[in-house]
Amino acid sequence: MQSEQIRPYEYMIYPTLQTAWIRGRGLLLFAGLFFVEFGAGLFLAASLFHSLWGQTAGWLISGILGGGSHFLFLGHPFRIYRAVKRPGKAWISRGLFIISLFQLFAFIHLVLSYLSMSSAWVLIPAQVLAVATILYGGFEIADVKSIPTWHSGFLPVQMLLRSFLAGFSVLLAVNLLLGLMPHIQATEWISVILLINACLFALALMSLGLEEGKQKISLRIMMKGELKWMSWLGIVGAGMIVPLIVAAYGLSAGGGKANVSIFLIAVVLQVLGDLFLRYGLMRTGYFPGIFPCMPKEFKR
Amino acid sequence: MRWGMAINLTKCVGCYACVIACKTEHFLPRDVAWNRVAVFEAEGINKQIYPTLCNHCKEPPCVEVCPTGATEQREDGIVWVDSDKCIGCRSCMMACPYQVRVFNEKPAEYYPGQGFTPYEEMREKMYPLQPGTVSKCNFCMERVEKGLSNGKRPGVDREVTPACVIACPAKARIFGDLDDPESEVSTVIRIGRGYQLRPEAGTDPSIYYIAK
Repeated sequence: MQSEQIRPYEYMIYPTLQTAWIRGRGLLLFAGLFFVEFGAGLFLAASLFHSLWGQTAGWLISGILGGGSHFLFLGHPFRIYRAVKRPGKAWISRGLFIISLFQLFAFIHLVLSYLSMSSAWVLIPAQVLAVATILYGGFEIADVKSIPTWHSGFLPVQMLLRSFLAGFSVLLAVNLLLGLMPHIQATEWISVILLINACLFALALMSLGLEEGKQKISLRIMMKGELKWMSWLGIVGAGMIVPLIVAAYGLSAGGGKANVSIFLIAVVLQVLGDLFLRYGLMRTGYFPGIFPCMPKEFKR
Repeated sequence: MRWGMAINLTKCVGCYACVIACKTEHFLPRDVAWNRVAVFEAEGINKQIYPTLCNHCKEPPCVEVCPTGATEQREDGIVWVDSDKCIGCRSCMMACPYQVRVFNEKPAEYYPGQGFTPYEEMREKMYPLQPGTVSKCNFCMERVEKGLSNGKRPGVDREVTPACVIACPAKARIFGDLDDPESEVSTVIRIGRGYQLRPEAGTDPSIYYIAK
C-alpha cells in the first residue's frame, strides 16, 4: 500500500504537498512529460533545420521514453484506449491522442525521408502536432485548479519555449561535435540559446513566487527547504549561471576560437537544469488546507 | 433530488465510529480510508474536530478531468467511480480540492506477515477494490438504491442510510435530500447556517458543516 497516503488524522489540516504525480510511480509521469516535450522539441527544431538524425532521435525519445513512461505510470495501462478515444474530455486524453497522432505522422515522414521520397505533406502536420505535444504537458499541469502554483496561463508557454530551445541546443551541440555545421555559426547560436534559456529559468522562478501570493510555500521549499541543494546547484548553478558565463564567453571571445567541449557541457547542464526545474515544480505543488481555521503550529 | 449531508461539529465527539463503519461497510484495506476525522487546535480557538468524506460536489472537478468517464455523477448527485473503466491516471486525485480520493495499491494485510484475515478474504468476494484504480466514498449508494427500490427513505430508514450516519453515536450526521426544503437535512442546514468547505473552489459541495 502507498506509504505516502494521507492519514485519517492528519488530513489536509496543513497545506499538503501533492504526491500522486511525483512520488513512487508518479515519477514516471514526471519523466514521461519531460521526455515527450523534450523529444517533440528536438523533432521540431531538427525538422526546421533539416536534420534527419535529430528528427529520428526526437521521435524515439518522445515515443519510447515519453510514451513508454506515460504507459507505465497508469494503474491499468492496457485500458489506455479508453482515454485515447475521448480526446475532447480531459487534458490527459487529449495529450495521449496528440502524442499518438504525432508519433504516427512523424513516423510516416521519417520513413518517406529515409526512402528519399517527398514528405512535405506529412511534415507540416507532424510539426503542428509536435507543438501540440509540447503544449499538452503544460496544459496538463496548468489545468489543475486545486494547486494554486500550477494554475497559471504562463506555464504552457514557458514549457513550449524551454522544450523547443532545449531540443534546439542539443541539436546544435551534436552538430558541432560531429562537425556537421560551421563552428562559428553553431557556437553563436548555442550562446544565444543559453542566454535566452537562462532568462526563461529566472522568469519561471519569479512567476512561481508571483502565482502564490503572500505564502510562497512552493518557492520556499525550493529555495530554502528540502530542495535547496537541488535548486541552487541544479537550477540556478547548472541551468542559469554556467550557461550565462559560457554564453558571454561565446559571444565575446568569437565563436571560431571557442572550445567546443565548454559549449557541450553548458548545453548538457542546461538540459539538466530544465529537468530539475520541472521536478521542483512538480514536487512543490500543494493543496491549500481546506478548513476555515488553521492549526496553531502552522507557521506562515 | 440531490443527496447531501449535514455534520454538526458541536455534536461530533471525534470517536472515529464513522471511519470504522465506512471501513467495515466497504471492506476497506488497512491504509484506505474514505471517511476521515481531522483533529487539531486552531489559533485562538479550542479543539477542532472535522469529520470529512467525499463532498459529492454539484460541480465536481473530478468528473471533468476523468479521461475515461470512470468518474460519473448520477442524477441524484452521487459521484462514484466505475473501477472497470478507471485507468489509474490519478487526474481526479489532483483535481479534487478536498483530497478525499485514494489510489488503491495491492491491499496490505491488517496484520503484516500473518496473511489475510477471514474478513479481508471476504472483501474479495463482497467488495473487491481493483488495485491500480482510484476509489472514494460513494454515499453507500448500494444502500440508497436498495432503499429507493423498496420504497424506503434514505436518511429516515436506518437500513438504507449511509453507514457513517447510522454509526454516529452523537447523531452528528444527518443525511437526506438537499432539493427538498422540508427534509431534515435542509432544515438543519438552514437553521444552523451550514457552510461548505472551500467554497471559493466553486464546486458546491453537498456536505455542510454546522458549527453552532
